Amino acid sequence: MENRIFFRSFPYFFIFFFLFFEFIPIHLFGTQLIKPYMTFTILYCWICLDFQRFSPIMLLIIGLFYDFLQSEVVGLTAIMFLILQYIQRRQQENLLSNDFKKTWLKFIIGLIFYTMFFYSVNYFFRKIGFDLVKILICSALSIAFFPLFFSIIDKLSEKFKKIND
Amino acid sequence: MAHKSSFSRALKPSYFNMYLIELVVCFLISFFTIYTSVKKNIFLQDIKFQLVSFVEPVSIAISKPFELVNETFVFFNNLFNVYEQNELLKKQNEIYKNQINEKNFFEIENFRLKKLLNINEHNYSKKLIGRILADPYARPNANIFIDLGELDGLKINDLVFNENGLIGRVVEIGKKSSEVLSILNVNSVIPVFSLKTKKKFFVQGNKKNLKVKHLENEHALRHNELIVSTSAAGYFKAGINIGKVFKTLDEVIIDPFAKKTDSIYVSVLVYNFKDLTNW
Repeated sequence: MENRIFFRSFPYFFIFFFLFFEFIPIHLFGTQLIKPYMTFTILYCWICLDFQRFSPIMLLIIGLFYDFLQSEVVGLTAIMFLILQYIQRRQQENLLSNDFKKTWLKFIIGLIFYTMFFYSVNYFFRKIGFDLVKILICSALSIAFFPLFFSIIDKLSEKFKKIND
Repeated sequence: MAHKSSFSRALKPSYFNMYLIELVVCFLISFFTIYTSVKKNIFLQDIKFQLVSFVEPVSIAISKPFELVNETFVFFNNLFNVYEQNELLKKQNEIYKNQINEKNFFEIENFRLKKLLNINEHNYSKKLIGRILADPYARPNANIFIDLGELDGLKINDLVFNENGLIGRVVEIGKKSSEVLSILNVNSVIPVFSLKTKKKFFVQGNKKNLKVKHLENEHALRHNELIVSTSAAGYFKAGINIGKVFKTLDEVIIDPFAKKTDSIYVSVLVYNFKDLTNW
């Protein structure tokens, strides 16, 4: 019973850990803090590999929490995650392909769409400026780290599936 | 044989329908939060402050190992430069000793003069020390959050400093945290005064520096000239150091002394105007 609760709640702890990890006090690293969009990448990987792991309500909570910590306009990330889950639910090949390069390319498209959507809404509705170079570097880092995150989540997701079986 | 109507089927939704209902509800909530945050709803802002205050211990706990690693690097770096630092500190020590002597002399003189004039002094301001909670990293124009709030006695428009000078002013207040509008924010406009050329104008945040506003001939300002605040807008006290004039061939900008990322801790000057009126 305890194991079951642990295995069920582990993905949430995992994602919330990375969410905090992404937003630990930035002053530690100075102004030029550049890092990948870890929470987005991990949740994207998890939606790709096991979309049933998260209910829409949980995606909404994670998305809102993410936006509360980093954005002036709250709800954009939640919408993005909900759309991704819906796309993947309709057909598994929508986000995940047998050829990893295709999966990677889809992630790149998703990330570009997300960053454009996120920063443009913040800019047009709340006049929040952004540093394009930093965003590009952060996006490039996310794209570069995607295979690593994907393999970690793949292993974790496989493990959980075996335990569930 | 009776067939189920579509209405009864809707009442007993299948698994897919349950998912769809949940999805639609989630979408509606998301759109609602977007709408309320665009409209700058106070309730949503309050939730944001409460959340930032609530998650502060978790952020500190996660950042602790990084802080330790960072401090270890700093420690070893200092260890290698210990002799040079010692020499530098000795020199500084001498300067400070002289300054303390001077200060003591002025204090005594001040005390003597106050006694002579029979002035009863009241404290009308206090300085609070706070920590920066959130500083969105990819958005130079974003505001910062500090862990001081209404419970600490903070008010809207209280000034926030670090050791180098003015960072900004408080624009939103929660119970335990507040939002600070940085002087570098494009929405921040400060009335200022140039000390050498004696010109009054405004400076507006320009993300990395400050833009000169409402001054006919910007090039009349001198390079490296000190810029201080004036009390024209009512938010700021006169004489606060803002920055230095930086002139190039094409433009004149103000380089601020304090940047929000200079330090972890900031101080806030809280004015108590009730005491000021009693003074």
